[in-house]
Parts: sequence; C-alpha cells; structure tokens
Amino acid sequence: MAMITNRRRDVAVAMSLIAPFVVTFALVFLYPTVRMVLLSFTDAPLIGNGHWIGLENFKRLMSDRLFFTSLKNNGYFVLLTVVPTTALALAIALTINRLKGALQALVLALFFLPYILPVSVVTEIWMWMLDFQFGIIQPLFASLYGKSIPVFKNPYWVMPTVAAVTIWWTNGFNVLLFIAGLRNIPQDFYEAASLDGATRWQMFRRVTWPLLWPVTALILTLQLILQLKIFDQVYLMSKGGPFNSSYVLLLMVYREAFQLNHGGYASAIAVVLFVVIMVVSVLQFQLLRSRGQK
Amino acid sequence: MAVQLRNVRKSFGTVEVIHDVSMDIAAGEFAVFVGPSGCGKSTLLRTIAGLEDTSSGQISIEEQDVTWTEPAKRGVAMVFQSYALYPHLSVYENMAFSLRLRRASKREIEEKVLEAAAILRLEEQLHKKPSQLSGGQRQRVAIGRAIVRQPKVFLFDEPLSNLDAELRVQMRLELARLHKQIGATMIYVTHDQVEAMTLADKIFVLKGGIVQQSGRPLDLYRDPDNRFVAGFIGSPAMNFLEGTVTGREGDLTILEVDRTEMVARIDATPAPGTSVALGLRPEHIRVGETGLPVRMEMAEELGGLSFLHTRRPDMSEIVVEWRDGEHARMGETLHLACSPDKIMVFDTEGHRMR
Amino acid sequence: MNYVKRLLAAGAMSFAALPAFAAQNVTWWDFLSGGDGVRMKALIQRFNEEHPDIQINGTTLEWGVPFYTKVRTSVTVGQGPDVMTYHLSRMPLGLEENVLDTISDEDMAAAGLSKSDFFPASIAAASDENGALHAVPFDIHSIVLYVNKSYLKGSRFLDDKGNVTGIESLADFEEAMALAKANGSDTPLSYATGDDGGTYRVFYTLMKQQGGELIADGQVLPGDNLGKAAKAIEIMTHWHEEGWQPEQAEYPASVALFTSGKSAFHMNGVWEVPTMIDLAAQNKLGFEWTAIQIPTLLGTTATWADSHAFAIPAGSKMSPEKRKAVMTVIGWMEKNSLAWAGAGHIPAYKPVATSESFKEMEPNATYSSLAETAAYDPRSVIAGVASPVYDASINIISPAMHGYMDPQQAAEQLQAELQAKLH
Repeated sequence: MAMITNRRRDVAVAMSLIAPFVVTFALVFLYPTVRMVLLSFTDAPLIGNGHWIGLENFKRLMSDRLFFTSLKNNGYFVLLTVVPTTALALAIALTINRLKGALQALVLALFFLPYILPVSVVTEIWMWMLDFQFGIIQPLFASLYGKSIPVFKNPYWVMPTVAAVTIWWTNGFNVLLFIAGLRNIPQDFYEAASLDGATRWQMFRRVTWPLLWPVTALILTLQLILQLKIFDQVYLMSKGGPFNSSYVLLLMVYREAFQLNHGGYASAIAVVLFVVIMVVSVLQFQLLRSRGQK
Repeated sequence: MAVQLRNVRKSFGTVEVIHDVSMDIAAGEFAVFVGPSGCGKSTLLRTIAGLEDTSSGQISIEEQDVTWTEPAKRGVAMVFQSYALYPHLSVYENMAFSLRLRRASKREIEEKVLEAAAILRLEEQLHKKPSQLSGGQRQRVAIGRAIVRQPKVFLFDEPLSNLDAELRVQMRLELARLHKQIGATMIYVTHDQVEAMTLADKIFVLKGGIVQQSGRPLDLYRDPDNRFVAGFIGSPAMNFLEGTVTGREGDLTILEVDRTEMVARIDATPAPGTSVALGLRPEHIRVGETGLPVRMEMAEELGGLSFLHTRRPDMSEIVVEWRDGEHARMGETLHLACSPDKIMVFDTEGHRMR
Repeated sequence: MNYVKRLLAAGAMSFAALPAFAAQNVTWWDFLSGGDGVRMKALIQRFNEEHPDIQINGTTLEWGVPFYTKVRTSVTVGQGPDVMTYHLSRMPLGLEENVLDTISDEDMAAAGLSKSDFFPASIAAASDENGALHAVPFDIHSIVLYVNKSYLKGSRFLDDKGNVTGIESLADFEEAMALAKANGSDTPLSYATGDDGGTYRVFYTLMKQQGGELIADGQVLPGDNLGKAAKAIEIMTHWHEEGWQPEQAEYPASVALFTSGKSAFHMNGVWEVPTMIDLAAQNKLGFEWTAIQIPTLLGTTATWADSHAFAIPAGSKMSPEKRKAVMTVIGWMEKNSLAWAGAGHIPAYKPVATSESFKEMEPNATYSSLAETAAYDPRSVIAGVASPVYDASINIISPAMHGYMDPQQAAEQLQAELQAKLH
C-alpha cells in the first residue's frame, strides 16, 4: 500500500515538474502547429475564419509554378550552404585549436562575432559592401570580371551571394561546436598516434575526423534545418528576385499570408515546408548516424 | 644498455621539474620509476618517449642518441594511464593501428595482431569496441597495441591506476608474466611502492625531480640511502623516532628516545648530543617488558598478522607488526624494543648514518 | 474579489465620463517620411495648436508592406488607429481585407466636405463598387520629369523663356537624351532602375501612353497588352543599352544623380520637389531646374498617379464624439492642403487645387495639368503600393531591362506570374 502511494506521489511530482514545459510547449508550439495544419484546409484570410475546402490548397500548390521554383531554390541554397559551412567551420576550428591562450580566445571571438549580430545588421553590412555603385568589394569584382556586378540583381549571382553572407553570419557557432568537439578528444590519442608514427594528415584522418563525426553530423543536421528555413536574408537582400531566382518557400508563405491575405494557402505551403524539413532532417540524421557507426 | 640517460634536465618555462637525471637501464630489465605525485616520474617517462623535449642532456636507446629523434622513430611503445584506445575502432583495429599507418600488408597485420591477442588472451574480444570491454580487458588491449609494434622499450605510465584493487593485483601478475614471456625492456611509472616492489628488477625512487636512489627492490628496502627512500619503500611504512645520541659503547651507539635508552649498531660515530632520527620497520619491533613505552590504540587485524597502532607520549604513532596470537588491548601500555642491527639512523638532513 | 470588481467598475465609469470635459485624443498613423513627413508633422502641430479640444497623436510607420501589414493585423484585432493615411491604389486590397470603414455623407458633412469638392477620378478610386466612400482623397501625386536645363541650353528643347519644349515623341526624348549625353551628362535620364517603385512607375506610364492596360477584367495583360508591355520593357532596355539610364540605381542614388548634376532628366514622384526647391534655395544645386509633366512619348498622354487619402479603420467602436473629432481632423487637413502641396503634391480638394495661391505655386502649377490624365493603378487586389505588381517590377522588369531577359519573354513571365496571383 505504502509502495503504491509512493509511486503515485512520484508520478505526481514528475508530472508537476514537467508541467511547465509541457504547458509551454503545448501553448507555443503544439497548438499553433495544429491550428496551422487545420488552416491549410481552409480558404481563411490571414486573420479570421474561412471555409473548409479540403485538399484544395494542396492541389493548387501542385500546379503553382512558383512553389516548385521556390522548392528548387531551397534545395539549391541548402547545397550552397550546408556542406560548405561545415567544411569551413571545421577548417577554422582546426586552425584555432592549434593556437594558444589569449590569441586563441581572440581569434575565436573574431570568428564568433558575426553570429551575435542581428540578421538586419548583417544584411545591411553586406549590402553596403556589395553595393553596385559604392560597395568596397566591387573593385575586386571589377578586377576579376572587368566590371562591377550587381550581385543581388543578377540571377546567377544572387543565391551564391546570399549563401556566402549566410555562411559568414552563422559560421561562428559551428566553429564553436567544432572547437568543443575537438577539446573533447583526449590529448592521449594524439600522443599515442604520434608514437605510432602518424603524420598530421593521418592523425586527422584516423583520429580527429572519426571522433569528431558525431559533432559533424549534428552540425550538418542543424544546418540543414536552419538553411531550409531561409527567409530573412532573401527578404532583406534580394526579395526573391531577379526572375524568382532567390524565391524560397518561406518568402512565398510570407507573401501569400501578409501581402495577399491568403492565410489558408500560406498555411498549406508552411505545412509542406514543415514536412519537408522533418523528413529530410530525420533521413539525414539517420544516414549520418549509420555512417558513423560503421 | 637499453636505455641510458645522461644529465637530463627538463623545464616548463622557468620551472625545472627534472634536475640532472642520469640512469642506465639494461636490456630486458623491468625498471620502475616510483615516487609521490609531482616527483617528475611521468615527465621523465614522456621525455624518454619523446612526447616532451629535453631541455638539456642526452637520451640513448640501444646505444643510439635519440634526444632529438621524433617519438615514432625511437622504437618505444607506450601504454597510457587512460589506455588511449580509439573508441571508434574495434579491438583488432586498435591493435592494428600502427601497422596500418605503416601500410603493412594484410597478412602481416593479421599475424601480429593475432599473436599479441594470443599472448594477452584477447582472441574472443577482437571484434568488440573498447566500450564493450571490462577495465582489465581494455588494459590488455592497450598493452597489445604496444606489443604489436615490437618496440625496443615498453613504456607504462601508471597503467593500473584506473583499475579496482583486485584487478590491479591480477594485472600486476599478468604484467610480470608478460615481461618474463617476451623479455623486453620495460619502464614502468607508478606511485604505488607495492607495484614497484613486486614488478621491478630495478627501482628508481624519484622525489622533486631527482633520483633519490636506484637499485633492486630488496636492496632499497634493506639499505635505503636516506630517510625518504626508507619511508617510501615498505608497507606499512618505517616508523621514525626523533632522538639524541648520548654515547658509544664499542660498535654500538647509545641513543635516547622518550627518556628510554636504545642501541643501534652503526659504523658512523656521531658526537653525543647530536639529534638524529631512528628508523624502525614495524616487522622488526618486539614487544617486551622493557623498552619504549607506548599506549595501545587500535589494531588492524589481517588474520595471520596484525598491525598494532600505538602512540608515544608525544602522540606520534608507531606501527608494530604482531604475529603471536592474542595482542594487547586498547589503552594498555606496551614496551617496544628493536635489535641494534635493525635500527637505522638518519641525520637531521635525512641522510642515512651507516 | 468584489473589491476588485468595484474598483474596475469605478475605473470604467470615470473613463466613460472623461470625454465630456477632456480633449479628444485622435490616434493617427501614417507612412510619411522625408519631405512629406516634415510637412505632415507641421500640419499636425498646427492642427493641435488650433484645436485645444482635439489632440492628434501621430505615429509614423514604415512605408509599404510593413505599414499595410500592421494596419491589417491591428485593425482585425481592434487595435487600429482612429485615422490613418492610405494609398488609393491600395483600395481594392483594403476593401477585400475589410479594414476600411465606410465614410458616410454625414461624416463628410461633419468635416465640412462633400464629394463634389474632389476630383472625380480620386473619388471613384476611393469608393467601392456600390459607390460607397471608404477614404477621403488628400492629394494626387504622380511622377514628373525633372529637367536640368543646363544640358539643353542652345538646343531646340529650350524656348526663349527657358521653358522645356519640343519633346513630343519617343524620338524627340531620345534625341534630347543623346544631346545631353553629348553635352557631358553621364546618365541623361535618372530614375530608380534598381528599385520596385521607380521601375514600376516608368513602366506603367509607358504602358498607359500606348493605351495599354496592365490588368483588365481579371486578366493580366490581355490581348495586345502583352505586346505593349514588351514594348515598354524594350524601350527601357534600349535606354539601358545606350547608357542613358543608370544601372541598378537604388532610389537615393537615382535622386543623387540628378541633384549632383550628372543627369539631365530625372523621372520621379512629385514628392522630391521640396528637395529640389530646398537645394536651389541653398544654392547647392548649381544648375537651373524645372519639373514638367511626363511628355507624351507614345501617342497617348498619361502619367502614373496615386493618391494619399485618409481612412478610418473598420470595426472600431468609436464614440460619436470621437468620430466627429476624426472628421474634423480630416476636414481641416483638406482645407489646409496648400501646405501639403508644398511637398509637390496636387491637392485632391478642388477649392484648394483651383485657388489662386496654388496656381502661383511652382513648379506644381506647371505639371498640375497631369491631374486630368492621371493613370491610377489598375483596380485589382494584386496592384497598388506594396503589391505583387511592385514585386514583379523588381523581380522581372528591372532585371530584364538590365539585359538579363528578352523583353518579350519578360512580359510573358510578368503575365504568368501576376495571373497566378489572381486566384
């Protein structure tokens, strides 16, 4: 009897301990998500109720060229950012890890600095630097290509430029994760390897890389999720153009919802993006994990 | 000589941690560096391995000057305290690691790994990851990784300190067996004098970056050069009693401790009035009708023998080994005596007076 | 609990009692910055000084999508202002969103106004299909052609009195640009080629001058309008290729090109008139300037135009007293819109627009004739300020005229893109 009451009390304590989180989660994530999914089956405006129209929004999505353009651009952006930013962060982390003391802290701080900037500041900085008429980077383009390049107005340059700015902005955090990962590798491993006659490259290839793999997999997955959600940079720098070459799904959600007042249709796009992110990231994480275990 | 050190010094910044160490370790010898933590024993081992640069002096391995040779080319293999087993590799791959780096043939790798595995009885574990092994098995894998390399010298850096007491005893025996089996030169670092005594052919006692004394275990036990070595080697440790020289009778020096007369047979002739320390090992102390008065405090019963913890009037402790059945009870007063041949005398600086 | 209730009731009562003897506070939202903003703030201040019983609390929000998004969301949840500025080009979307209250004839009477006091086109633009008024027009603003006369000296484009003359066709205009270029004008025609509004207004003017329609009967560029759009883009592309217009000029850069004397012509809204007047007054311009109606380049006289208007958010539970105060504000603003004309605009309120004082106002009087041929944006939920049409301008027209796409193809993409939004 006493056992049972204890058990009950334990359950009650556990419940009350997790309650704040569960309530917050339900309130700010679960409920809006459910509402969004429900909204996607209606023709509701941004605010207010609409009529239930079943799968109509999704059917229309399948014939919306802009949707597929956006989907393709999201994929292109992921290609341009996820692996490059991870590789770059690893290279920077390895370099920083070889520095010592105050210098190391200073260099790490320099690389981390952009990450603490708000996106609007970041895009403003780069729009100045890349400004077609006055940007300080334009002379570089001029010396390489013979003329200035309006990077945000050129359909071929726009996505790579947005990707480069994004990497510059977010790379510091990845560097930090890698540094943490590197510091978790005991020095003994390198000493043992050096006694075994490993070269620097062999130490990286056979010790650092495999031991860092969980961190790498984590960064790749976080980056994939983050970069699929690209919006701010495009909205602030290129507005989806030119010729929709930087149009992405979230921009479409935004325009449909806030510009055209199509809450239902915008929700449908958001639901699709939600599913895409979930499926792709779970797949990727599983794939990366199984690779790590081999 | 398998390993020879000449005037080796090592500093970190302005702090010198190894002061002018010279030593010789013969081929096939099991040498143990022992000392309290911070004595420089691990640094010395790492200097021999090449993981630390020497600040000055010379290191030779099999008559070759390796002072500035990179670690991999010194022909040494090291077993780390943490084992340093790669968690992402199987036992087999861990042992094959150095061979793979050298791009050895598949057959050679298999041959050597299996041979080492047989020596260490690891055949059943080869496909497992280190995380699936017990502490003792991990230890053996770490040793196996060293064996595979067939080094001129094995270096062990406190290899047993992460094991529990029972396993430590067992692994100690295995190490001794292994040494006999492969007959290689081994240098072993420990802070545990029992390990040192049981394993070593030759012990180097270090303190403060200086070799205090080196020699065979029993020589160090029987004939320590100074109070530190005398106190460090032997378990339970030697009892030290502060006393004064009062006179001399033939080859016997008369000493007074706690207003009790004691006699030591030494060749040195300290002047009466000299302050000295008397060293008495617990097993050499006899309990009788007369002698140093102490109060019985408690007994450690080990079955066949007991250690009696007693207190002198100044409350300092004397440990006495007792083998003769029923011992005194708590609070009783005992009288301790010791044969003059067994009493060691140290001067105030800790040097042995022989 | 009872105590709290009583307290709340007491509070409510005292608030309800307040309006009887305290001043009416009118919450005002606008999107006016720059010269417009300065003049509107001055007007508000004057109003507040003259009306101790009504106080306007003005807030200026960001022009374009941010303003209209904020209006829609806050009005829907009943947190909107009491009165706000609104673009008439945005009317169709505003009506669809249901954010604009009807302004009755009684309201107008309370403001001392009547519909017949306004230019008919602006009243039509401010009304729904049933003729109910949803906003009170304040001005008509359009693009004009700013001219730096120094580049035209001694040519056939300047008459004896120093008035611009002889630009009656595209060929004339291009001849003038070539001449200005030869006379040392780096970029003879400056407009915001890298900006949605700048590009759209020129494009739409060129469309309308061909008698074209961007959207008619729910169809984007129906029939031969597609060809007309392509032609408009082709003209702009040609200006780019000749080096007559700046490459990827953002709005401020396009203004700077003219004010720094590098451009002979500048196509931009009347709202930059104060900038020129001020600079000229400070002797910082360094050349003689004027602003004229956009010449008839393509047969039909037409200029893109829009109106600022005052609107009252729908669904507000305003007291009759407050509503009267709001209408008083609107009426006062209309009657004092001569000050607003100082920002370059043409008053929508005819008693001011036809007054002697306005006729003496330069250069407004020179280009005020455009009010007769003003071409408002198509009445469509996808047109107007901060609409998909604006987005398409920066997304398709601007890059196309910079040579990234063939004009015909661009017109087709424009059609497809906008048509898709019209579901």
